[in-house]
Amino acid sequence: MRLKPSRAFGDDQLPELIADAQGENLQILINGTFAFIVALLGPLVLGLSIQPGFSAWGALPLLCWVITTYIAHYFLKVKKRYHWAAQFYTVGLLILMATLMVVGGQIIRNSAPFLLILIAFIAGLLLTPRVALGYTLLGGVWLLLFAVAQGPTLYDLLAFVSAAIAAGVANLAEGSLYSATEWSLEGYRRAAQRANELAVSREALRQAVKSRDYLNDQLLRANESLAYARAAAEQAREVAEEANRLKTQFVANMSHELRTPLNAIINFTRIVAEGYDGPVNEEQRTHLDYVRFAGEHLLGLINDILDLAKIEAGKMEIYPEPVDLHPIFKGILSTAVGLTRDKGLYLKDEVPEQLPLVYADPKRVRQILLNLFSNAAKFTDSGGITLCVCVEQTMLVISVTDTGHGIAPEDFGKVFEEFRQVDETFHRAAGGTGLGIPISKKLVEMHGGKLWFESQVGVGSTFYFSLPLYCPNADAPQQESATHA
Amino acid sequence: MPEINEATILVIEDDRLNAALAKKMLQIIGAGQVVVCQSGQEARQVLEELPAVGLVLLDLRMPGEDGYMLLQSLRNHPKLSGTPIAATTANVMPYDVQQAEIAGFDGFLGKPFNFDRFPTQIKRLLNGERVWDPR
Repeated sequence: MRLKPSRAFGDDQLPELIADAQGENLQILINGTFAFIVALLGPLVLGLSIQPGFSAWGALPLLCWVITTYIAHYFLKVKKRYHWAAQFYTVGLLILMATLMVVGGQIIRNSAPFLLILIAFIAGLLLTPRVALGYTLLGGVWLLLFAVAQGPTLYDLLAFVSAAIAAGVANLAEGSLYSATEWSLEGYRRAAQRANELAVSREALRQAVKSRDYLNDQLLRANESLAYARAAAEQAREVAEEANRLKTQFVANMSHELRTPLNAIINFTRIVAEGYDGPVNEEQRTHLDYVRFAGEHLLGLINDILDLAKIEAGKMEIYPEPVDLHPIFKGILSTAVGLTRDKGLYLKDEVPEQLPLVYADPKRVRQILLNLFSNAAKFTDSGGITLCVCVEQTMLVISVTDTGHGIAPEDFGKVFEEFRQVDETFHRAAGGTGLGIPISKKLVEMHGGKLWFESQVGVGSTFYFSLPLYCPNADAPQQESATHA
Repeated sequence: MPEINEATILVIEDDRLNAALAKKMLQIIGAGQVVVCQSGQEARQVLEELPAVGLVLLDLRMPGEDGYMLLQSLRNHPKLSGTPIAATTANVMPYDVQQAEIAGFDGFLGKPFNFDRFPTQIKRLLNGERVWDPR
């Protein structure tokens, strides 16, 4: 493994991870040094100093070593600057070597190269390869100068060269070691990062799964509730349908039961009144007619109820066809004469001669018109009733206007309610079921039209209903019209 | 086709009042002979003694054999081949009218009878026309 060329000499810092790891090692080394000094060399020097011929200079190396090591310790422990601490320690070792050479004897001088190798090795462990090499070179230069000053010997030369080679090899080896350490620490760092990322995303996943499970739970519960609700609604629907069916059935039965005796009432009365059983006097005739009217009224009631039941059960059928309204209007107006004669009301026909055909069930149109006219006659005491017609887009709007009491705004809702009458006391006297308008409205709506009214108290009311115009085919741009002769 | 004053009309109706009414109304319009029975059984007995019958008015709602059931057996009766059979009933719900049509009645007269239209209805039925008046 090659050294990285990008590292500047003396200026590089070990990567943080390595520094942390090495920091521990350096601390051990420093502590070991202190221990060594205190435990071993301390007493030794003290003992030696007692001996005669010992000069105080002998303590210098030790002193220097203590100081530099202490500075290194300070930098490591307090300032937390590993790089400075390591350098100081290394420099301390070099100073130790230098001072030992100065104050020591020949034996020590001869051992200096070995000491340098040791220092090179330690420096290589503590510092980056380049910095370590630098300090080693520094030591080597000192050795060289020292040897030159003393007068170099062959030994010196050999020692120097060997030391240089050894230092170089140590440096290379430690360079590889350093690179390997750096590389594996980088790998470790990356792995740690990835593990971290993995942990984060695993946590996120766990959270997501948790919330998904929670949501699932909610969903299941909602589904359950929905199922219950649907079942309840289904049940309610069945009950309602059954009730509706029973009601329709009941109405049909009742209708049949009520009509059967009415057949006898109405027709026998008629038979006697018209003299088929013998002569009848005026009064008898009148009274029998009253009986008959009452019976016919009852029949009308039953028919209305039956109609309503049919409509509500969806069983009412209309048979629309292209209809010329003129004869129907004529018929209704002549019937209305009977309704208005007593009160002296006028009947106005403002229907234009050219009248388009409508697509409707003529029987039902008659029924609706008769209902509106009889209501108008009932509620009008003076003035009259006007029949009018106008065309609006695809519909024909028929209106019946009266000059009666009118309907108050607060009573507008009652108009369309079944069995409700605007003035209930009045109506009961005049007769009426309160079914006419609701039935007419439903009949109109079955044709695809609308029924509505306008009214002003004291002025009168106008009831409108619309019927679809008859359109024979899509191509024909205009409708056929019937002329009124 | 028989004239009304020569025609024999058979009425099958279980309700006493309505039977009397039908008889009276038919007499008023001048029917030759009006025979009223209260059940299918009675009708079959009576038919033995009758000459040709011009029209049968059959009530649909009767206990026991009702109008629909009777229709089939009457159609097969030799004396009634070619005789129009009309239903009379107060059952005028669309379903019932439809049933009568499916069953194949030649006429339908809803009760209560319309006093004014009755004569025409009967004459047309005697003529072999189809008269359908549920209201």
